[in-house]
Amino acid sequence: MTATFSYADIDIGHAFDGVRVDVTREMIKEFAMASFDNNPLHWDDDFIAETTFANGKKFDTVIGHGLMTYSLMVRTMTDWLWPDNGNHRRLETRFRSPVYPGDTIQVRVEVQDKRETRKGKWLVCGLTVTNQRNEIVSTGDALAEVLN
Amino acid sequence: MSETSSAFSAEDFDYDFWKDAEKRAGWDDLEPGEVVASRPVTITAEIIQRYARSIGDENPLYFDEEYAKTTRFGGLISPPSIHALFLFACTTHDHFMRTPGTVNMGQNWWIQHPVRPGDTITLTARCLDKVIRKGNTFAIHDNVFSNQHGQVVCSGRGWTMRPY
Repeated sequence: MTATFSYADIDIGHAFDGVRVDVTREMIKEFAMASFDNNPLHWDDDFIAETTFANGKKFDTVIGHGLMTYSLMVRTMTDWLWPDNGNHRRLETRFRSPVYPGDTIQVRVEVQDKRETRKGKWLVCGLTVTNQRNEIVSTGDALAEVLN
Repeated sequence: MSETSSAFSAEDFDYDFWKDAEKRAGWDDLEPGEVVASRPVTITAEIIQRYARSIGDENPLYFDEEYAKTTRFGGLISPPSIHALFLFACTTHDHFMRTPGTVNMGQNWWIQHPVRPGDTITLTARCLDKVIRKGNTFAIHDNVFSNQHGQVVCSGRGWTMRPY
């Protein structure tokens, strides 16, 4: 876990690298079992080969779950905030490119704004997830509620 | 609220999404605003821990009860993203999110309370809107998860591209 901080310690522009993961077929399979999402997009190569979307796009191979990427983004937030700094309260993601087995994905967080409300102290965070080709696979907007 | 006192287990879950696939609502059949079928699920520490391990998350707040008791949480909790699992655990096999080829485009989730082992979670799920863009069909759906105390634990909205 990371060092303890308070709201005043974090400046707009503060950024750090979070979770970095080598995605494998085994990891995708484990996520499918653990999250109860066993869609054939995540394990069936024959289904992938015969699936073309209306815009003509196809996937190269089976893909990782969008919610797997999302979960790794949330994990980056809790690694940073728990147990004493605050709580992860919101994440909005757009899954922009597929995550394939063999990819290495990296989550990065940047504090883009700060706001104190009547009852809370909030860090507005922009998240990006990139692969080993530096392509953005997901972006996200998060809210961290800081305790102190 | 809960129809069953027995905890949900992976053995109960039907992982074959091809089974009865044609019986599920296609894009044309989805009725925005209609609440769809769901079932309450009692979560175990084992289910939470298997999910945490699948994303490489070894946070002792999910695994070490003695440690968790010393924190402000007062006991074991689950990752805030645990709703990923409940979306399928709390829906029935005819739910449209299981249709093979369903692609997740994006999600937004507000997290209000931690989910703890032993909690019984209920889901209110709807399709809210339907979109055609660049020749593809999409559904926008919202999901609200509540616990046995009547608290909403998290609520969110997602976009999926529909295969048909």
